[in-house]
Amino acid sequence: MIQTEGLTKKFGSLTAVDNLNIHVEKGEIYGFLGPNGAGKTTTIMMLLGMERPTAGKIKLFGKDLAENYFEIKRRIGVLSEFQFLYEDMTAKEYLGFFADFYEVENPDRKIDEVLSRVDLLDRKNELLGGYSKGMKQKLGMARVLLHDPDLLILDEPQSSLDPYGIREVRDIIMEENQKGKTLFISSHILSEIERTCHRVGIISNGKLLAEDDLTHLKHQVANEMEISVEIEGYTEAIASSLEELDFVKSVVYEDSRLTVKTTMDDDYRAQISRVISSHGGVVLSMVAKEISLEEAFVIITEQNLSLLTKEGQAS
Amino acid sequence: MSKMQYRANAINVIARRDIKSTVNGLGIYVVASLAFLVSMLFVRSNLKGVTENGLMVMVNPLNFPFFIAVTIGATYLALTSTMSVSRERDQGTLEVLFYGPIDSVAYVLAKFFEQLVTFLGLVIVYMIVFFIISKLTNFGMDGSFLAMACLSVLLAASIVAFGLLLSTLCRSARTSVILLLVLLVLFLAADIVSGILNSMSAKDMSVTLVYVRVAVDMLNRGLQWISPFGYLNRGIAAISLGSANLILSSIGASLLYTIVLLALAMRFLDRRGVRK
Repeated sequence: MIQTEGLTKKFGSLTAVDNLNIHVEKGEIYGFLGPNGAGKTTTIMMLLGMERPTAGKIKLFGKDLAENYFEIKRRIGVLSEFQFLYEDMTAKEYLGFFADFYEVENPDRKIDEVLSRVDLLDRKNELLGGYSKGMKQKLGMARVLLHDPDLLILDEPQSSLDPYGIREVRDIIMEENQKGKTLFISSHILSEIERTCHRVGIISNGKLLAEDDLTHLKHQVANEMEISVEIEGYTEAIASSLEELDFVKSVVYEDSRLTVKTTMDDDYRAQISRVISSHGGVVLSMVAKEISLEEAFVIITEQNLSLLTKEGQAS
Repeated sequence: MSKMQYRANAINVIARRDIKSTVNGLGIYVVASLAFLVSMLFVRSNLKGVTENGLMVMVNPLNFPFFIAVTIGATYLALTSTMSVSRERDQGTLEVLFYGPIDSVAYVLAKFFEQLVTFLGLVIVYMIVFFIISKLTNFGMDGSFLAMACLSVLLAASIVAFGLLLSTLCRSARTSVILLLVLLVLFLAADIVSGILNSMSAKDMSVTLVYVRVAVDMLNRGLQWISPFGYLNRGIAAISLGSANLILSSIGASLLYTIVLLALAMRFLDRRGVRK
């Protein structure tokens, strides 16, 4: 759906995007992450043909953007972080303008439908100048949905929203994906990325450091898994037996809770449970504490840790 | 759909929205009223001359007041077209538009046609009013009036192209308006200084001043090809001389100027980008 090859953008001596190879498959939700100034927005602008790449190629829907500019742009819906609206228009007029722009069929019905999805139907005749920041953000989302695009590029789609708004947008993202739409999301709300995205790409200083599904990405970053076991009938023999296992790195018992650190290559909870039972212990609860996306993101970007092969693929 | 069809739709939608916004705004009505007021002062002066002298020898007495009305309208157009792109970029709405199926060619042409249609509407209203005045005052209107009306549309095209070029060059509406004012003052100053120096006798001038006169004259001649108002002056001169060749060459030059400036505006919009 989105494919870049050696995408590079230089502003004078500054390389904003450096040899970027990203691959977004049809029907997936792709999280595009990076610290401020990493080159995310420049990349998005190049994907939309709004910045000329210094080098490299962009293919959207399998086609060259430059050669199929209008056709491709019509199939994309873009939500930016900040909503720039015609404040002298009402929501109905604003969406009506974009419905004409994208030549939407049955525009009145479609406008009502998208306004209803973002819970703004009853405000459609109000001037946009009076809209709150969150309402503007939701109206931006309505504009994106208006022409039923195949690819949605969302830059910070949940910023400025209250928890209800965040949930609404999350639901819309999931619904659109269920319809087969591809979503490319750039966000700093990593908990939301973790909840919605199938794969993520992490960019730092213009370079793509990682591109993988979340589970694999976390496994690559973390070198151990922490398993916390609430236990009854603890004995020293349990700890000793666990320490003898190849995959166990450390065992600590404290406040009726056993903390076992294992290697990341597999899920060892069953084996741990069996060892505890064999020594008369009773497992009351067991939780495998995985590294979060936020932790993985910090490790990758702070250490500038590249998880890609030389060819730019996920290792 | 072909590239041209995509562009045609974008031009149509954006121009329609902008025309609606102009019609709903106050500016156009203020300018139209001001233009009438000023031009009526000249009509009144002519009428007074007839009343006082019982006779007035003047070819096409409504042409000059009409020219004044057109110039005021065109100056308003220069201002609005200079602000049109830079204001949208300033507000960020230009960026949102370019998320969709539009390019710099379609956008600049949309802005161009919107301004031109607005001016055309203004000229039609002017013509109706002047026709009524002609009937009320018995001041004659001949083909030169119509020629001037047609020429004014060409002038408007040149001015809009000029304004759009300035607008694409600047990041903010304020900067583009300042640039326009600076250029207008430069055009006017060069014309006035050149006129004053040319009216002086070379005998009374020092050698340095003669060189200054030549230099200012050359500058003014050059600026007359850069300033859109220079094209109007040449057109008016051609009409008053009644030379078909001069009129046609004036029209050709105006069209070429407009096309070149629009192409440059598109190029600058591409280079400057659409982001706030």
